[in-house]
Amino acid sequence: MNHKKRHYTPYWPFLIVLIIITEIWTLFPIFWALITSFKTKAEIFTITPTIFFTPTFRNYIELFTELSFGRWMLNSFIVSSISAILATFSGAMAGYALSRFKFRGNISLANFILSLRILPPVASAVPIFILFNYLNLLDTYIALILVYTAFNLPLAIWMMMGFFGELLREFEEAAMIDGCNRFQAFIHVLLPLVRSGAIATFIICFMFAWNELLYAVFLTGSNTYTVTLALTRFVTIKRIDWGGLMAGGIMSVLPIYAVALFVQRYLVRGLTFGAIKT
Amino acid sequence: MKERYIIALLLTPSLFFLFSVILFPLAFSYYVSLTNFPLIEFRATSWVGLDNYIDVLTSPRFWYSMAFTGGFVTLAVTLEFLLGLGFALLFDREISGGRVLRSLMLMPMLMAPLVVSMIWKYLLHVDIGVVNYILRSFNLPAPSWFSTVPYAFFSVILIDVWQWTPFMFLILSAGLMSIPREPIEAALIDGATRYQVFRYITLPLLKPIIFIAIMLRAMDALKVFDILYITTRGGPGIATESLTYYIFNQALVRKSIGTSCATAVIAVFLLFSIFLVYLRFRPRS
Repeated sequence: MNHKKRHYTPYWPFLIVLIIITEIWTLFPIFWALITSFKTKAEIFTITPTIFFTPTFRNYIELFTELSFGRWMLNSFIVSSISAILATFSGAMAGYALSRFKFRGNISLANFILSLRILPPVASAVPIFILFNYLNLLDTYIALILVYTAFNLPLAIWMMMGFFGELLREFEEAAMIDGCNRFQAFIHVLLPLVRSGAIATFIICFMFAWNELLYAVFLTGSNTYTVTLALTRFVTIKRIDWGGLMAGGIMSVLPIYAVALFVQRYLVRGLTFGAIKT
Repeated sequence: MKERYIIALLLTPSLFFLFSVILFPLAFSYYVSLTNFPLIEFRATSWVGLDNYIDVLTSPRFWYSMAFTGGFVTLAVTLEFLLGLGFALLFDREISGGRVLRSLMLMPMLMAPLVVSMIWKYLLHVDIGVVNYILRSFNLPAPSWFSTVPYAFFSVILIDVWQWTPFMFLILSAGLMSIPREPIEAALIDGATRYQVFRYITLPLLKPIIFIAIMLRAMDALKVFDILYITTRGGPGIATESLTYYIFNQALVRKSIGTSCATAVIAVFLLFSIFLVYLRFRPRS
């Protein structure tokens, strides 16, 4: 599988320099946010940026003592994980139906579902706000869970469709010969076979929900602030608490980086809705 | 006969979510776009026919937002593609620690667009931003990046490019890896230059993947919202008001739900037609 060429052409040092520049361009803003999160307010508000300073955890401690950042992380976690579970399970069921059964319009239905992913969320934000207000669902977990599940479903369905499509039909046929009905075959034989795909789907759905802002703006209140929404509230009219903001930003990406390592293999697939498989 | 019930049962949960949270609100949006809908109260709604659509389509502000969105998507996606392709080619070789270096390249893409925007808002801050510090130390002008006219446009593009170039990099890298090695090696043995190999072998083989990457990124960039919400709020004036931000402003600032929904319906049609183009020309794997 190692098809890469190792070549020490005269360009080699030049290429190394280019690679270093590329990495700096990509990582410098994150590095800068990270060191800013360890600075005091005075150090942040200097015209000449300080590079050498005594790091302080003040910004992080304040997040959890003076602000309820822990609560906001919990809110984000509840909403993102429940919606990702719902999307993955419903997506697995629909993906199985669409990849295994030939029925009239199954391809059009699959494409129609995919098209819903393409729609701008802002187009349905106002009507959803009006409807949820009418149903007394504003500032509840249910509101965000419903919305994130629905907006992640096209992706989940398409990913799961791909994973089921790759399984040999013999597996379920064997199970059915052994006396399982279709449901038992689905639950006991097929689902375990696509387990890693389902976990990847769950994590990608989780990441989208965790990072979402627009619906958090429309649908949350003081009981359900998510991390993204809470961060927007660091911006007061007069002055922005940059240290707290950067600390909060770093805290908010940590869980994502932790889980992203496990799904890197499936990332291309998830981001292209299964159009490109690796 | 029995199969039909199984299919229906398997599709039910998905269709429930999609209908209740996406399709029904969209239909409701369409209904509201034909009325003069008051913000919260459900009474005193009257039918106004196509008035909202006429309002929107004759509003210079709407057409400005269309032009901004067009310019934003074109410039941002072009830069992301060129940079992403360059990075992918650069990393398409054996480097010690290559796996780690490639993973690090993906970090911006995984962050919330809101966090990315906040970091860049700080980097580009007029007084305490590190970018202006560097510019000043070279005696270059240090502009107010988000509140003056030509710069605000380029600043929001810069943020989008920084965050999403890794997306292009990731997909194009995967594409490069899937290209068979033999024709390239054969061409090199026959005396082709590296440029010729790229131009006549790599690029044509990569075409389907380039198409998918550009279309998906463009459809996503058309929905730009978070960057604007954090940095410019569509300003200065309406200089960076995108189509989505126009919809948002009509509803929340102008309190004109009817025209907001009318614009939303127009936006949905626009994206849907682009999606149909994607489906029509999408390469089959």
